[in-house]
Amino acid sequence: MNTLLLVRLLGIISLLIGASMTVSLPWAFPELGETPEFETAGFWALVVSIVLSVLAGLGMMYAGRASKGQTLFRKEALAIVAFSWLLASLYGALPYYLSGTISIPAKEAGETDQPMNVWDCIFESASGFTGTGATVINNLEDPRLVPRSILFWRMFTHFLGGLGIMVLFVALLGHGSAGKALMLAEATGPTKDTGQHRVQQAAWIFAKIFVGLNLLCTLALWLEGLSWYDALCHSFAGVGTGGFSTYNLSIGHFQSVPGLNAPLIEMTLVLFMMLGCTNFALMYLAVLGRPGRLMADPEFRVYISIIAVTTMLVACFGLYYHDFEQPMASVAGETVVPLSQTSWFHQGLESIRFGLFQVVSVITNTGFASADFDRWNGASRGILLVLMFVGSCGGSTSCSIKVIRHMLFLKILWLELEQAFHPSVVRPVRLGGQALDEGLRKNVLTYISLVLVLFVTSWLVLLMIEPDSTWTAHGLSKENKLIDCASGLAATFNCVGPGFGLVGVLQNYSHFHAPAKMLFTLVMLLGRLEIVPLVVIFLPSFWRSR
Amino acid sequence: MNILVCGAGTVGRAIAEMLCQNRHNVAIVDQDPAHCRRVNEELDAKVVTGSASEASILFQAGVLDADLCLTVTGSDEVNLVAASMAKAMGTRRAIARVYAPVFHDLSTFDYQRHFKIDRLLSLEHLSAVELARYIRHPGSLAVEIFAQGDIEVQELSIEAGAPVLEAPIKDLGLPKGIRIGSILRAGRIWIVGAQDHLQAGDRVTLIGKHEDVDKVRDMFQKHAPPKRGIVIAGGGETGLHLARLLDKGHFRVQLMESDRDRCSHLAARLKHTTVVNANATLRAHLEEERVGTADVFVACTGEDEDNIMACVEARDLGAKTILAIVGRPDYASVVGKLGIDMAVSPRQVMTRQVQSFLTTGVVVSRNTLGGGGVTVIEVEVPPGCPATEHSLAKLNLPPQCLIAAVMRDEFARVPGADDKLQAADTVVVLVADAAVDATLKLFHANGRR
Repeated sequence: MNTLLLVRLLGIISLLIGASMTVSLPWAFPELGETPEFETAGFWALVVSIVLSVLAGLGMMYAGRASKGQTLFRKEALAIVAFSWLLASLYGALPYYLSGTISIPAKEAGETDQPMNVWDCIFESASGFTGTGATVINNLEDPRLVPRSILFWRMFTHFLGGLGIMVLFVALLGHGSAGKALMLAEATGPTKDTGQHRVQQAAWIFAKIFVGLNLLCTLALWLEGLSWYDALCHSFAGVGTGGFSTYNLSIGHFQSVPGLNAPLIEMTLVLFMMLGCTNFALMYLAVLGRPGRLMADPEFRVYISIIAVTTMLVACFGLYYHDFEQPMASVAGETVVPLSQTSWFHQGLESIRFGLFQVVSVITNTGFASADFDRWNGASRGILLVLMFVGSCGGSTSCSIKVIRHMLFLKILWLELEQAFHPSVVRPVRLGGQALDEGLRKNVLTYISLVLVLFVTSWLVLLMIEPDSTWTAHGLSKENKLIDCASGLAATFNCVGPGFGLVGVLQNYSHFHAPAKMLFTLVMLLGRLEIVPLVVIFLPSFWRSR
Repeated sequence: MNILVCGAGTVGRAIAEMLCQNRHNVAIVDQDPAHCRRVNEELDAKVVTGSASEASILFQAGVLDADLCLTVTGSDEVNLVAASMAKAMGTRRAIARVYAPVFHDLSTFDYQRHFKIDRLLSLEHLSAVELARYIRHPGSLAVEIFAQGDIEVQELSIEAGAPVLEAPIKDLGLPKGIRIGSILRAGRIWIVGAQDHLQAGDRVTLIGKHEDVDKVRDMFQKHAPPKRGIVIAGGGETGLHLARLLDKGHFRVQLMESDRDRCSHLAARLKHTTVVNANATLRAHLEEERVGTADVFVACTGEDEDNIMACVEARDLGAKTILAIVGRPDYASVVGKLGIDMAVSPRQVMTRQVQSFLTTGVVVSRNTLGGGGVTVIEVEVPPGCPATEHSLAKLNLPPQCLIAAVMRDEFARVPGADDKLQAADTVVVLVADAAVDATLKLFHANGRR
């Protein structure tokens, strides 16, 4: 292990993260952040965070200066990816901590506001960078509890994480084989060739498409009546498939704002969530005028089909069980007609609207909510829980297992079953007529087994470290502990955000104790980095030179 | 004819020997002095020692006034370059032998056209075609190979009660771009005429684009016939080519290969073929792969002895038809006694193929279909010949003659009655033996031979 090189490159990454915090500073001013007055706490917390991370970065670069010009190998690349995400989560936590952002506001007159502790801050920061969208902040809407500039930083971490820290790094600075190793170690899922010869070009294309989608989404949301602040924040969370919102009721909040067309905003976000989870390399080809390649891509077709089928299922179950009777929020003073008393056409349309939004939000691992899906029927909730593990296309901002791995997995299973009765037959795994090599076969099996093992293990650990009293203290039945914990872990491991019960749409992760939050943080990072880089740094053999 | 043969290996020698026996003027080029010495002693031919890719050597061998140049050295690249040079230097026709399948793959690049070579031949491909002819209808293969994937030829058996039985062929209203090629009835093949009436039980060939042929299939048969089971033992190049030729159509193909890596290679290339990792020389493997229930068993491993033994085992297990590649001429007399229905010798196939190119004038190649009675001719249409003067319907084609495919601007298609041939087209004509001369008259400039 070339520690000096590792330290120097991590120093550069610290600088990058410190520099990126400056974007949040302008929102501390009343003109931009729509705050009543200048946010001293938020502004200075950000400034100190910037100074700290820049100083740390410079120090690390100085300490590792002897490694200049040395080459990066696979080992270092994996270590850099793992440590840079850990570092990013730490630096990203500084503004929350220094600004004294309130996690649990006082409920009664005698109580005091409870600010975020160290673990809360790291949890929130990791949740942002990994694009999870799980939060520990109970009330987002009061600038006295959460400064608007800090809230902007919280949303901006979705942008950075969605783009990928390594993509950013390689696009700006990386070239040569080192960049290639880094990109491969961070990439989500089996990616496709952009036809570029140099990895820096590929990183630029990824970045350009990502920024382009963000701009389009911001513009669309602004045209639909959102403020620039809200439009930017929700486009970071939508395209980056993060799932944080600036409102307590997530996207459902817009249903209560007079003058806004909530269905239109929801469908805009559906579109951009789906685009954010489409293979960027194929989207690039489509932009260049070859949309046929995207349409012919087997993964994309299956992805779209899954969305279509599950939307219909959720909509039908929802209609049958009257899940969509009352909207999540409504404009004050307006009377709400229960859905079942409206026309059949309207009922169908509304159930597709809620079904589609929630299905897309979960399958893209975003975690927005336009309805309290925690109160939906068991079948719909089951579908959503399984969709968390499905994910979307490789080479996008999506986390989770991804459609392509599922497709290959099913094909491999089929072939293995055939082997049981006809062991001598040789058949390759084909995707779109193309035979894939054996190595990928092993990769897919390994990855899916890792997901299973880690999910079950972390679930058991969580059940043991979190006392039952957490449930009873919040008026919930402790019988729900098993499913709540499983859904919470599924939601964090797959970077979705909200789960069911204690971690449902209207709840959050602040109820858990510190050890559980640490576990969630680890699980989120594992999910975003597709397990391997983060696990290998814990192997003793990884650090031995031979 | 003056013929130049580059390469005096086994194949080159066999070809040269055949040519000498047919009283052609043969010149042989080979790099290896030992080969040259041997050929010089055995054959009455001019022998030049040197590389076939050297212009001066080709010049010495008399390339300038050669009618045909065959390049059959051991190296594909030398063969391609030499044939291309010979063509450029004035040989009327040039044929190169290639081994690597990539040169036959037209999906990315047409080597034949680029090097201006008249034909790329592969021994393995020819052997596979010869084997496939026994399994499939021979006429359809000829057209398919000519059209190189643009056109498909399907063989259909006509069922009792099918709509096509009601009227003579000209009144059936078949769409443009579909032709009925030949009919096989009671063991006799002939070319379809407009007045012919189809009968139940006839096997006909339909020529046309894949999607067009599928559309009219219902007119001929209501149910797809049961697929015939084919087992190919040996996944060498021959086995691969054979599996490809049978891949689509009414066959269930199983390919046995003993090398695991080769199996993966084959499985990646063959979409509809089941590749199994099994050794055809082991009876246990043959039993496990249920060779006994196969309709056709083909042995094409690299070894004659293995092939023969596998065939004997397969016959014993109950396979219905047994085919094999047997290279050594010594074995030819006994294969029939061992229950092998047909043995293909690659060298013989090659020499026969070369014979089809010993043509004059506009004819590129000329083959007789198995079963007899029908000849497949490939013709280059010269400028000013009678065939270009009228549309096909008005052209005075003899009966029993069908222009099955036209290659124009690198695309093969099936001509309709209103189409007109142009100079520089290449056409494939299926014609009854008796009408060959009358047909060729149409393709000679000024109507003379």
